[in-house]
Amino acid sequence: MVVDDHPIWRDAVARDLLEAGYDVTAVVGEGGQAIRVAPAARPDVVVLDLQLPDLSGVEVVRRLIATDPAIRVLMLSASGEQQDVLDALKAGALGYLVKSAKPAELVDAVARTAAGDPVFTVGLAGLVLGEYRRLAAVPVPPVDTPRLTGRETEVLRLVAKGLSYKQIAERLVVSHRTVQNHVQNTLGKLQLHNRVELTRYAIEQGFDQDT
Amino acid sequence: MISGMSTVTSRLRVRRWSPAVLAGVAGCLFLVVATSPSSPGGRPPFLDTPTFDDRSSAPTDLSGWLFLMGPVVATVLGLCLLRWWPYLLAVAGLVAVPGVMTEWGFAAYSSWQLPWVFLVLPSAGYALAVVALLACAQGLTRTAVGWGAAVAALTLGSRLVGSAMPMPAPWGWELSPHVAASWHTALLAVGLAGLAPAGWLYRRGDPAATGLPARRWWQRVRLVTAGTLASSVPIALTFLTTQRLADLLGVTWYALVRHSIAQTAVIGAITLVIVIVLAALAGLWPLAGAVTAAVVQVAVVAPVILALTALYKDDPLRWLAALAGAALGAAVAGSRWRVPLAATLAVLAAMALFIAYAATTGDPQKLAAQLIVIPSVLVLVVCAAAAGAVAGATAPMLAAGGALPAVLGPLAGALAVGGLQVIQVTSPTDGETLPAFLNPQITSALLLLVAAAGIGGLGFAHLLATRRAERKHAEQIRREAATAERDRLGRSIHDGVLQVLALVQRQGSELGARGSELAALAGEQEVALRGLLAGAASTGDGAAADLCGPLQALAGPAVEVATPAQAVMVPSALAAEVVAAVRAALDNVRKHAGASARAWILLEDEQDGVRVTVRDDGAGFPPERPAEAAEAGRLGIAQSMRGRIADCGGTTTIDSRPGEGTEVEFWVPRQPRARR
Repeated sequence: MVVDDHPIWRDAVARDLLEAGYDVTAVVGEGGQAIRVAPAARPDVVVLDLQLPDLSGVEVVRRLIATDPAIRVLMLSASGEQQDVLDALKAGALGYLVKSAKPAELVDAVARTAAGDPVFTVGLAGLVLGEYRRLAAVPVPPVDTPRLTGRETEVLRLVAKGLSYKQIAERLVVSHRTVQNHVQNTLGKLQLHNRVELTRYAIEQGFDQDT
Repeated sequence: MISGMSTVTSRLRVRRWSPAVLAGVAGCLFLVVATSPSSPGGRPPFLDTPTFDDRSSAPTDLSGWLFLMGPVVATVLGLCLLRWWPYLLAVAGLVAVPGVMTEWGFAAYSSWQLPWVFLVLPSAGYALAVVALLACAQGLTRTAVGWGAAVAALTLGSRLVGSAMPMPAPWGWELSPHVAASWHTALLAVGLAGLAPAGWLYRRGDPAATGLPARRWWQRVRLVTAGTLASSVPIALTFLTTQRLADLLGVTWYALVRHSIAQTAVIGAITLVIVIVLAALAGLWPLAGAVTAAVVQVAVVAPVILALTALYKDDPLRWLAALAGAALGAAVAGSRWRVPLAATLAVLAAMALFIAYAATTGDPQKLAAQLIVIPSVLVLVVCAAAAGAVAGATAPMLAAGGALPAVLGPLAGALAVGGLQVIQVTSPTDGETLPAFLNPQITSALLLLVAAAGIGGLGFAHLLATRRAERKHAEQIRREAATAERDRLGRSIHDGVLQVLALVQRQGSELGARGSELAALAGEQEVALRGLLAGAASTGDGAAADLCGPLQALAGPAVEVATPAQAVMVPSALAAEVVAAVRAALDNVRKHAGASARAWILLEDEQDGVRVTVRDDGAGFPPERPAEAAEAGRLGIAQSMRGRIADCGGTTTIDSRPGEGTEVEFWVPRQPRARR
């Protein structure tokens, strides 16, 4: 499923994906529409523009994941509003790509997203790294604040410095798979923390009473 | 539409402040009552030139202490409860009632039979009325500056009017006690009635009267402390008995008693020093305002006493002249040109005194001795007006910092007492142990000139301060507008132009060679535009700057930048150095790493510092090469960036292996250490 408010863009992305052999189940231009269509379209991967006219990208990601936790979201954005990208990531998106990426890169990213492998660009690694640093810098961090292990930090920094997984694996003398796992963990912990925070907030506010 | 709105506002404003003005004038009536002595032959207390009697000890009994403490307690209460000024004024009016009852003969010639509390109350009521009136003026300056200044001017003018009401009469002119009593009763009744509207309007307090927002409580504490201490200086001085002072100065007790003027002056000088220090503790504006107001008060005392004495037979003329002077002072203070006009009045008063001095061949007492009417009336009017105008003109400047009640009340009052004690030595008369009150006219004239200069200087300083604040405000508005405009532009560029550029870049490469060219161009422009936006969005307010923006702006087709989502704030000088070092590193990549090399910039916000890594995938170099380059004299960019970072107290690590690219890592502490 492709969600983008720009018709030319939307069609271009859909065409590239079709050419690459993917089955594009829906092409929509609004966030609300995407949420309504998703249960019927049953996409494996949603390619989502973060800047939509009706809903914020973060909100769309949250609701999509809520309707079907198996949905994997790849964010696209013309120029990354850093905080939005980070929030969407914490809400459960699996990766992020700038719109100027080449069609081949897009297809590759969709493939990896479909496989559940986070698409970590350099910018994204920097954001995640910054977020962990921010969480750690809180004077009295709550007990369940996610922390990176030494090795995870190392891997994430190398990703942020533009090294490929292969180069990282060579440098750290580990397998490609291990690097991939480390990267996946850093994101997983952050998303888990985000869910825990949201739940706690909901309980504190008494939202759970209604449902 | 606009004009209609302004009429509505002004009408509302009239409704809001007219009760306060009425209450201000009504409160001044209490001051008139408090400063006009009830017993004939008594000196008007406000104009009394204080002397230092031969006291052997501090007060011994409770009532003596309470008498001293009364004004202090009233001042503290008043300064702490500024917003309840209508009620404070009412209390000040009510405590004068027992005194008036005494005048009516309820306890005639036996006032000692009244409980001593009633003797303490009037002095406390006077202090309370002054502070409450100034609070009223301070509240008024918010909505109607002119009226606020006029009320402040009246607090001084009304005391002069009160002093003119009965007779200072060293020559024994008699005033029937019942005349004074009827006047006082009438004034009190009118005053209390005039308070009623304000009492109703401000039944929940007048928040404007405090003059300061609640979060500046420390400023209020400073002012209350300074005011309290200034009003309690006389208590401290009671411990300085003649004997102790003699010991302190190293002279005999007898010498001090013989030259009591000198003794009084010494005490006055001590008072002046203490109160000036207290005023300075309250702040620069309070200090300047208190000194100016005190100088003008001290200056007019001698000429006013002289004029009142000369006019003691012309009953309505005397207090009408004083009233005219007070009204003129209030009118000048209320006008838009209060500062220049007040200075002019002060200079005019000084001129009048010089002329009087010359016309009496150096003995202005002749005016009083020969009961010369018209010059005395002129001197009285112009001096009273100058005093009121100068004090009133300081009001708007002091009210801005909430300092009006503390400064024109206790601080200026204590300073004036000290000044009056000192001023007497400027014209001692031969062989007399008692000072001649009427002689220091030349000193008064000079002091009036000083007051004129003081108010002029204050006005100028205030003008500069206001201009500066306005400029700052305008600058802030401009900056906010610019930010908003930039955000708006940025949003539309995000939504439109960048999307299309990205699209051209993406689709173009599929259209053959010319399409690829187009795509490359679009790509460059997209990156440039994004960098421009990121650079423009970086906010900094001089002291601190965000590192994310300028680093994001370095992104290009071959450069990727990774930063945290939050702003990384560092001192702006430090930010400039870091960005310059990163630029140098990128230059290095361009020169040495090879044409196809790409670079990555990573910004990390650590607890005590900032780490920036610049990595490239170029040719790299063997570890010994920088040393070779240095030896060959090609210190190069590497050295210059190392120097920059070291100057900020940071470190640079360069790591490279042939074929694996180069990694330059800068670490700088958030707070740069002092350079040796």
